[in-house]
Amino acid sequence: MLTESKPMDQNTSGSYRTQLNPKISVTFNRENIQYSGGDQLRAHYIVEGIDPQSISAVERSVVWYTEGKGEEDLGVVFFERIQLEKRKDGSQASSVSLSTDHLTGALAADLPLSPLSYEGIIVKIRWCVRIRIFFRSGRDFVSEHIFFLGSVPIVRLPANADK
Amino acid sequence: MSTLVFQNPFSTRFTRPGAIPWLSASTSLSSLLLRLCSIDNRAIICGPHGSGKSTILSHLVSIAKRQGLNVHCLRISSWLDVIGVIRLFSTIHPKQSLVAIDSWELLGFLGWFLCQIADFRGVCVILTVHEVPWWNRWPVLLHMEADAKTFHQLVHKLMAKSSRSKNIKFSRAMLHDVLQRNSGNFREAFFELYDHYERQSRIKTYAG
Repeated sequence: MLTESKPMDQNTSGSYRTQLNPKISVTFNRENIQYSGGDQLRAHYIVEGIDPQSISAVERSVVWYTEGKGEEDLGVVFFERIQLEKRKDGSQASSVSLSTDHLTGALAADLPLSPLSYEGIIVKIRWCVRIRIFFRSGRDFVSEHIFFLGSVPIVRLPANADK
Repeated sequence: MSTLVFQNPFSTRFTRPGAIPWLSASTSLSSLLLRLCSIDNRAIICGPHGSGKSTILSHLVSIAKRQGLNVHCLRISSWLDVIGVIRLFSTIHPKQSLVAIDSWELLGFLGWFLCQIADFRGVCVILTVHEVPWWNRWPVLLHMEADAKTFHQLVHKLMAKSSRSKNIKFSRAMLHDVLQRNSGNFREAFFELYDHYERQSRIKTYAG
């Protein structure tokens, strides 16, 4: 069964722009988006809401990163860039599937044993499938879809934290 | 295991230079680059800690790249970086390049020497400093000042990124206090809000 995770989207060259952004949905091969070290992650994505002919390249990756008050750390376990070359007849040639109104693709990656997903207070470790779309206009758009590696419990606040 | 994600809109990845927007209605980024051309291609952005110097520099770099310029970004961490700057100033093509250097004041008086090289070669340079050094005659492109209105707007935009923010409210008075407590330093104020957000987000989740 495939499951869809909630995306975190952003333009990477200047945030909060008013340009039309694509809707990217990713479905995972685990319903609860919960994986263990050594598992194989398989994901399928669909890019909708924009003209596929306006896309020049797609980067898909499986990464972990830290989030918190300090500098970010990042690790990449899978990365692939697909250049969508425009033919003279207007169609595009690539390993991703392109129809008139959307673009789809799939990826698979063997997950390492660590680092495990961690929901701390000062720092968090997140795993995600990241789809980055490059447009012919020069701008790009990133969509991240979180999944979980391992089962480290969520850190709870100390009992007197709300006082 | 729960699959809860406590995304905090005040974490570094959302507040680092380049991730937060340039909000000035009076000065556009493109007009700043045009002004840079009109003032001999070398200028300074100055302002106190956490006032947005690195943020504006990052946005200017993005625009310059989109305009086809060959952009070199440096962040000075000690005076030892002088060697890298000399090498860069001496080797790049002055007409098609822009050099963006953050934390220039860390070079001390060595900066004067580097400015002479840039002047001599006609290199296009933007520097960020806390205060303009007495020996530097390059014009100030922008003087950054942190103000409460911009801070409120940025907090609003950052919180709009996270779905959990619907349940979390920061009053204007509280934001005003946070900014004052951090002496107008946006970066430090965001870090304080990170803690507030984290606390409220978890309390509301577990209470609900």
